Amino acid sequence: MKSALRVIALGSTLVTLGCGDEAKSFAPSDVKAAANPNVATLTQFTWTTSAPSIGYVSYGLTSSLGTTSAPEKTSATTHQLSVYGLKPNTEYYYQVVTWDGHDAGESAIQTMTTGATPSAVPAFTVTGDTSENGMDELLLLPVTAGANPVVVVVTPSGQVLWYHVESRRRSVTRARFSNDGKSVLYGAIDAGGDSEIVRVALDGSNQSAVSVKNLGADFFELANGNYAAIVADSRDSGGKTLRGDKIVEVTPSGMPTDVVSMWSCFDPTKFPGDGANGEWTGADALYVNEGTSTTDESDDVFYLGLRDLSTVVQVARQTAKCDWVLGAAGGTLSFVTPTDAFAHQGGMALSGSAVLVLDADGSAATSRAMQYTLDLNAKTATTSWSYVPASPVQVSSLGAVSALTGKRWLVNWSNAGKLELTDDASHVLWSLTAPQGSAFGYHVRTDSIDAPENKP
Amino acid sequence: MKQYLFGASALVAALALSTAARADGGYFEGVKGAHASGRGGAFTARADDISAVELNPAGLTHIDGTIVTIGNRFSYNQRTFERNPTLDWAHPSTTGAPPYVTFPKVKNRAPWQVLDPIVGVASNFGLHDWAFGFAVFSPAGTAREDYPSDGGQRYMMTRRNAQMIDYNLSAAWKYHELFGLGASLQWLAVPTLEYGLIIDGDPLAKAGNPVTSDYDIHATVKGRDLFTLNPILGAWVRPTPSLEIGLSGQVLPSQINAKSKLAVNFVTPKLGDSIQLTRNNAPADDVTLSLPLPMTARLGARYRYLDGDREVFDVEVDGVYETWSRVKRFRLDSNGIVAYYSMQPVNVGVIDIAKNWRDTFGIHLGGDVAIVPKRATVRAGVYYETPVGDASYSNIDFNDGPEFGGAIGGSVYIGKVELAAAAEYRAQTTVYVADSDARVYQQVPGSGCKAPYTDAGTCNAHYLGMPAPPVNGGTYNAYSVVASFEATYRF
Repeated sequence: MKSALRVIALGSTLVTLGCGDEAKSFAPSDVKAAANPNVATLTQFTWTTSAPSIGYVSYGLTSSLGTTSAPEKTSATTHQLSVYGLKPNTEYYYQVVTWDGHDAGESAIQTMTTGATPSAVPAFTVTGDTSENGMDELLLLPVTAGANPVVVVVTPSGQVLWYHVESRRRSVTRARFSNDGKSVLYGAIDAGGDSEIVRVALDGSNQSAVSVKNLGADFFELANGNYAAIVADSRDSGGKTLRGDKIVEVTPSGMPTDVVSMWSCFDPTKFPGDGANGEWTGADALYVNEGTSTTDESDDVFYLGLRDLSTVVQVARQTAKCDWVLGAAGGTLSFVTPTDAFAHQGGMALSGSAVLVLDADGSAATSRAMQYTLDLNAKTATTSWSYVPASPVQVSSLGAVSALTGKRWLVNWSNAGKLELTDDASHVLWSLTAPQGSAFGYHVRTDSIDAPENKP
Repeated sequence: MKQYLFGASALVAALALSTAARADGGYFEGVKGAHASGRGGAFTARADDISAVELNPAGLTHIDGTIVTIGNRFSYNQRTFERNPTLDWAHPSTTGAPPYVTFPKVKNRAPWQVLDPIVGVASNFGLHDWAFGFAVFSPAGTAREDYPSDGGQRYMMTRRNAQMIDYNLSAAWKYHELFGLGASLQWLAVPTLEYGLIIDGDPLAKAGNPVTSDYDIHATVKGRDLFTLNPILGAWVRPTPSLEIGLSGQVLPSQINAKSKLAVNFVTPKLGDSIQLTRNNAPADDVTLSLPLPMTARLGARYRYLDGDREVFDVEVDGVYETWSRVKRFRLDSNGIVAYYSMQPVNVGVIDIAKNWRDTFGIHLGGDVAIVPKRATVRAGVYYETPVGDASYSNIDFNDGPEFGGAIGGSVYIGKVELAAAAEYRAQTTVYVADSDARVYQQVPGSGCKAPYTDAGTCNAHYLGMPAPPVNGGTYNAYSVVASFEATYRF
């Protein structure tokens, strides 16, 4: 009998030992969200995981969430992820999702409230198609709506994902994403000479600047980390001081080196231009083709728009000479249709063998967007596309044109505070308008703010 | 006397070296017969009813005269599975974030098993030392499982239907009340063996559709194997009137090889796109489904409390060892069938559902008490069985985890008729499998991903090191409630 009881005890023990496989938890822990103090539309989410993992954030205005961030690209146990474009002063529901390569986990749904955006950040009005057949890219865009210029990243629907207010009220004409994709660069132009190329981290963490004396309207970050920039090059001509322009390369520490001066390409006595107040060349647009090497800048080719000469030039860095000239100042290329010649052009971009310009005054009736296909052998510029707005627009400065895929063009009407996407039949597919009195600087396009590009 | 003892010893040695009767783990659950069930399966030494043909044929010699038994086993067999949440990399959002997908718990939609009879006759034909038996029954277990074809389990299984019939012919001989020997020849017929699951028919390289695929195909194999033989040997020895030891075993390895038909259909019918199965450019759908059967050894010892010649109560403890490690996989061999759809050939090849089962050991404790001599007996038992499967290979089709159970039962004797009943509760402890441990993968016959599954050119980047997404991660629960009834007429 005692033996039987022992057997019963053994059986009970085995049953007890067999119970209790518990589900493991792969949920992220210590999940927090905080609106960035410098960028109210930016919220930073942090969490930790017990094993290296990637994750993303789902968020929305209700507990149904509905929107997701891009997933992290590298595994870690401590995570920080930035989500751009949350509405200001709004309560959001959010949840973190993780994946360790095998197991998925999610946090509980939590809430957070975003901060307020400054009044300098404009509200945009959008019309038209925001699908892939219309406007489907983000824009990095300087906007001057009041005393303080602001640089914004705006979605096709007009939502501001990110902003930075130029609190010193300097003029901002150009903004670009940094090559490392982590910052926005913009030129802050001060009439008193205190001009800088400002670098603002997208995550709002820091800001730095490189002083560039007499900085012009455009600059470009080179692959070697230096900046190519337009700066004023004032010289005496016939007893008068004329402000020409030159391209300089500026190191991150602010040390400039001349690349080429327009004084070496043009003679003001032959091409006096029509600038006012001693302005001569009026360089306002810079485009750089860095060639095949990303470290050797010697094969760089520069394209410079000279507004007051109504001319665009190509300059090879190696020769520091103007290879070809398109426009009024002794053009080496001729317009096949002379009435299509531009005047006081704004922004300029290259697209294959074509040059795109915002032609401010080539047509008396209105400013227009022009695309010329260049034939360097025949030395001709043939109009391959143009767009005249339905209602006349007069661009007084800047302005730009971008060629998108699918025979779409984006026209930046600058001081009209309007962007239009049009097709080859001049149908306006999409438009974005800033409040009355606003003006745009040069834009760049990107597919993502998480891995931004600088599409001209 | 010496020669008989020598014979008994030889049989014991043979059983110990081989192994034995119908298992009660793996494909099978519990034991057949109201007596055996009511004792929690602790019946190897006692084995004094018709179920002895399977549990210990030598026990037939405990039956006096002739008996005819008819009974049925009613059972409710519930299994649930809740697949772990996963990320659906195949359907990311516009930001590239894969949705976090949870799966509702699925249940067996065919839990009731109402027709599970046992019919048998045993007789000594007037021979004092001999006994013979014949019984027909289906093995104890869950014959049918049915799950939704859109459930979280669907890449493991959607449906299983295994109808088995055992025909047992037994003979036993005893030497006085000292020891007995017996043998059964068991003919296992499988008139229906059906197994269905969803496979990802994505013909593109690097397919990785852990949640759903546009090419989800419901594949069903249905076949039969009417002839598999299992010999069972058994013995008992009673060294003292109060102590009885029983031993039995199924001594030969066998395997069900079901000649089957393969049927495949898109889960979501595609306009103008059907699946043609061919072999050597001719229509073909014949495949072979192979299921190995285990060998089993049972060793039981029981203590009999006697009042004179009358047994007042007994307590028995049994150990059951089952060689489920023979089951490495369920193998569906298409013998070269090629499926054509979307204008592409996809080799069906060999579909292996990994099992990697291991040998199990069960301990059973039970006994009878004659509360009213020759009028009423009650019985009870408990048992525990070690898990047949490594948790990594858990599957919804059979219980892989550790199982335990308890039973109560009783008999009343009315003249020459005994009415016996038993109620049994059997459960598998909760089995949880993390996806990082899961080793049952989605079947993707069109995949070009080959072992070691690390070629980024042919394998999906999110499942490198794996042939396909794992699909058996989740939480498994299973239990059965069994009621057995038997009527035995003693001539």
